[in-house]
Amino acid sequence: MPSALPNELSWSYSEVLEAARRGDRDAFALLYEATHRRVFGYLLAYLGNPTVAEDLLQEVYMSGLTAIRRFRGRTEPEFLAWTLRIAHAKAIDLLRHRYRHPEVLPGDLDSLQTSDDPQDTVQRRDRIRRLATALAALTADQRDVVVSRMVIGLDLAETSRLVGKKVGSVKALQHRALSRLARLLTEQGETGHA
Amino acid sequence: MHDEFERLERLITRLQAQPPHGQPVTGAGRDANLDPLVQAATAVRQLADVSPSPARVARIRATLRTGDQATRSTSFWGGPVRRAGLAIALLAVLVAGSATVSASGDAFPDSPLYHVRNLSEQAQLAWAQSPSQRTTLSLDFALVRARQLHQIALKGSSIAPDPLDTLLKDIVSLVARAGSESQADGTTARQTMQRKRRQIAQELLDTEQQGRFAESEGRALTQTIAAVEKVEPVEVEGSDG
Repeated sequence: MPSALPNELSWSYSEVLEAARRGDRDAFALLYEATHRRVFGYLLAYLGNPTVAEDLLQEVYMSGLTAIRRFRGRTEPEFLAWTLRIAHAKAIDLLRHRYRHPEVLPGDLDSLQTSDDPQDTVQRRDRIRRLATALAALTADQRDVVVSRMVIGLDLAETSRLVGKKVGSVKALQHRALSRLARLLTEQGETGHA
Repeated sequence: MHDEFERLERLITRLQAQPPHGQPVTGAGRDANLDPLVQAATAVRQLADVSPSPARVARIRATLRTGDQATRSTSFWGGPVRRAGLAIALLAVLVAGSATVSASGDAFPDSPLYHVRNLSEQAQLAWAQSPSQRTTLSLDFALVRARQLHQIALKGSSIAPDPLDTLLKDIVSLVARAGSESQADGTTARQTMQRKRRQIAQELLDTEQQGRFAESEGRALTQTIAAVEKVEPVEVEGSDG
């Protein structure tokens, strides 16, 4: 997983992390800059509601800011996994208390940035809406595995650590999740347009 | 079944190696039955190419940098980071009036906060919107260092070699960066480059005349002045910039 720190930055990831641990907010904002898209993709896939995902994104990083001094990792995958665990906990908490039956709210995707081409953007918003609906129909474990692999780009070992399951279990979950997703998307006529 | 998991994993790995809207990955032969699964995975990959609204991204960034909510959290300011956090906040207040340099903006190379200062400057450069802004910022950072060097020289004591070496290297590195950035922008950036470069060179010349240096440090200072006076980025011996 390549580092997503700004190209202009000459500091290594571990140096940025160390500064963030010491309380440097600019350093923590750099970590946010490097990871927020993947965390947002995770939350969007998990919650199916971009407005709620944006709200939660802010909560995730504010929690990260207050907890970063306890983080001991030195690499981007470690920081991302740590942040995703915060995101996961917050998403679960939200679903448990407020969104037992997550649904995509019409119009909520209008603010999303998906493409420079307006027509393409409209089509992609529609696909994302249907995707989020299909993902919401998976079990939490299945959704975690699919999103970790396909949205965040983690490999098997990283996904295994993130979801707390053995690599073999992750492979089985991945197969079942994609089989079910393929059926759901076929019913929606989605995969033929992907 | 286990074999099918492995074959799916190979296709997923191939898919991950492509951009979200790259060529479709398809199985062949006995992998063809996995095509619907790979198509579903391809569809999910579209979520990797979606961003939150720019306004929200900027708002979260600003909140993280100013720490409005964090400062209300007792846990962040408690414990071992308390003193460091307060020192950074105090320095931020002290240098707030001098605009372009944020927290730790006047830390010297022999201070632990110099690392924080460098990091803050790098962050400002990374977030600058244009080469012109990066040119101005780089030269401002270099000018502050040149003035710090001059202040040390005016104190009359001999200058320790390590902080001096660090300041000179950073000045050369920042001016070189400004030179590169100004090449990519219009006349305004090049005029800024010329004007501020002269200011920096003048500070260094004054420092050279008024300070007491060992021979090697004096030579490094002279080389730095020569580098700054040139429009094109110039490497100084021993500089990593």
